[in-house]
Amino acid sequence: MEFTDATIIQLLKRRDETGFEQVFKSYFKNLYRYAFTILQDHDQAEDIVQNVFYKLWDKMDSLHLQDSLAAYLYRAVYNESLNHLKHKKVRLTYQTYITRSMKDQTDGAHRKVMFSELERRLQTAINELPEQCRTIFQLSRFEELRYLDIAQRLGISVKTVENQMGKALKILRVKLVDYLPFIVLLLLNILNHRP
Amino acid sequence: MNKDIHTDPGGPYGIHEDLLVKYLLGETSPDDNARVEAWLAADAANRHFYNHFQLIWRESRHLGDNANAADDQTDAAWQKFRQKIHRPAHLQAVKDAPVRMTRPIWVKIAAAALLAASITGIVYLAKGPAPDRQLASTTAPLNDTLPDGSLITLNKQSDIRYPANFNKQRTVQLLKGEAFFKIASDKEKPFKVYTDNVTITVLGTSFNVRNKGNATEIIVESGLIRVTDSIHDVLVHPSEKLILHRGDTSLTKEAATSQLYKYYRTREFICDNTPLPQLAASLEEAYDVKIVVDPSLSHLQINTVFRNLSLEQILKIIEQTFGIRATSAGSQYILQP
Repeated sequence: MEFTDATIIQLLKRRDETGFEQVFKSYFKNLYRYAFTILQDHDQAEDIVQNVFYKLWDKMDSLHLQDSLAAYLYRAVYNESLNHLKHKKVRLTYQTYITRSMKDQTDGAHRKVMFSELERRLQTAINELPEQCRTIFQLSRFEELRYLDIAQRLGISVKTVENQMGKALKILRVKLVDYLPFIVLLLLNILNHRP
Repeated sequence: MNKDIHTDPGGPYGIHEDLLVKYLLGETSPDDNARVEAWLAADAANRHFYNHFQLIWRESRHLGDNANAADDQTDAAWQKFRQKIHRPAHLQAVKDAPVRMTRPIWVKIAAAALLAASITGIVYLAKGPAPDRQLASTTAPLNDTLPDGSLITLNKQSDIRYPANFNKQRTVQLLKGEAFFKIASDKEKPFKVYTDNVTITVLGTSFNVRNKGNATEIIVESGLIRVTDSIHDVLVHPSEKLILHRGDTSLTKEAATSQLYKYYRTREFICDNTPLPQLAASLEEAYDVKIVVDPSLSHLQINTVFRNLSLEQILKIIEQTFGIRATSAGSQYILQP
C-alpha cells in the first residue's frame, strides 16, 4: 500500500531516510520517464530527477506543499527539464538525435519520417500545455492511470481530471491540426490491416 | 495554426471534448457511450474530428518509448542519491561551492518561479484522499461482500483494491489473480473493474476475470459487460469468453463452453467433454501441484462433476475411468497409459 501524502510528509520532515527511500523508489521510475519524454536523453533525465530529489531533501524543513507531493514532483521535474533544454541549447542536440534515429529506421522509412515529425511537434505541444493540464495528461498517457487514480494521486476531483484531459486533447489538436489530416488517412489504412 | 476551435470546421457540434476524451479512454458510462456513438455515426466530419483525438493519443505514447527504467536502475539511482546526501558537510561545501558560483542567474529565477508557483499554485483539497481498501487471498479462495452489496469471490493468491468511498465510485482494481463478481444492480452508478490493461464496465451482471501471465480472460455468466483498453471497445454477452493479450493488439472472443473455471467458487470441477490436459491444468492450479499428462493421453475427454473431492480421489476416478495410471513423485504427478 502507498502511504498517504500526509504520512510521507511527516516522514520527510523527520529526515527519515527509510521514508525518503520509499518516496524516491516509488516515484523515480515515473519521474525519470517523464523527464525522458521531454529530454529524450537517458543520462540527462536521470540527472534532472536526482537534482529534484536532492532539492527536496535539502529544503525539507521549509517545505510547504500547497498541493500533492506528486504534483510538486512532476512540476519540479518539468521546470528543471525545460530550463535544461532552454539554456544548454540541447534543442540542437535533440534535432540531431531525431535525424539520426530517422536514419536508423530501415523498415517503413517513409512512414517513420512522417511520424517523427508529428512526434516532435507533439512533444513541443505537450510541453507547452498549462501546468495542471500537462501533469494530468502525463499521468494518463505515460503511467496509464485511470481518471480516479489521477484524481487521488493529485488530490483533485475526477471532474477536474475530465476537464483537464478534454482541454489537453483540444489544445493539442488545435496545435497539430495542420499535420493531422494526411496522417489520419495513413493511420487508418494501417489500422484497417490489423487483425 | 491559431485556429479558433469554435470556428474550426472539424470541431465538434453538440458534444463536449471532455466527453469525447472520456470515451476515448474508456471512462464513459453506458449512457455516455450511446451519446458519443450516435454523434460519431451522425456525420463523417464528427468521426474525422474524433480520429484526430485518437491519433494524438496513440502517437503521444511513443514519446515514452525506451524510457522504461529497470528496477535495478532505480536501486542504483537510490545508491547514488544516498552517497550524495551522506557526503560529509565540509566536503560537500567545497565540492558544491564552485558549482554554485558558476550557476547562472536563470537558476535563481527558476527557483524563485518554482517557489512562487508552489505558493500561488492552485489550492487542492487540503487533506489527502482516504486510503484505499484492499482485499487479498492467500492460500485459499475468499468470499466477501463489497460495500454496495456486490458479491465477490477471489481465487487464491489474488488481490483487489477499491476506494474508501466505494458507494460513490464503484471501481475495483484487480491487482493480480482471478475473481468472480456478482454485481448489485445500480443503473445510476456503473460498476467498473480495472486490470492493468483492461477496463470492464458492468451493466448489471455476473462475470469472471482472470488476470494471469500475459492475458486477461473474461467470461460473462449473466447480463452484459463492456470491455475497453487503449484500442478496443467490445461488448461481451453471456457464455462468451474474451481474451486480451498484453503487449499485443489482437483479441479473441469465443464461446465459453467450458465451465471448469468456476471451480474455485463452487468447489466443483465441471467437466463437459473436457480434454484431460485442460482438467489437469485446473487441478494443478487448484492444488498447487505439477501434473504431467503423457502426450498419448491428450485426446481423452472427460464428462463428470468432481464435487468437494481431494486431489487423490479425483486422480483415482480418472485412473479408473480411462484405465490409466497416476504416479506421484513429490508434488508432481504423472498420468500415463
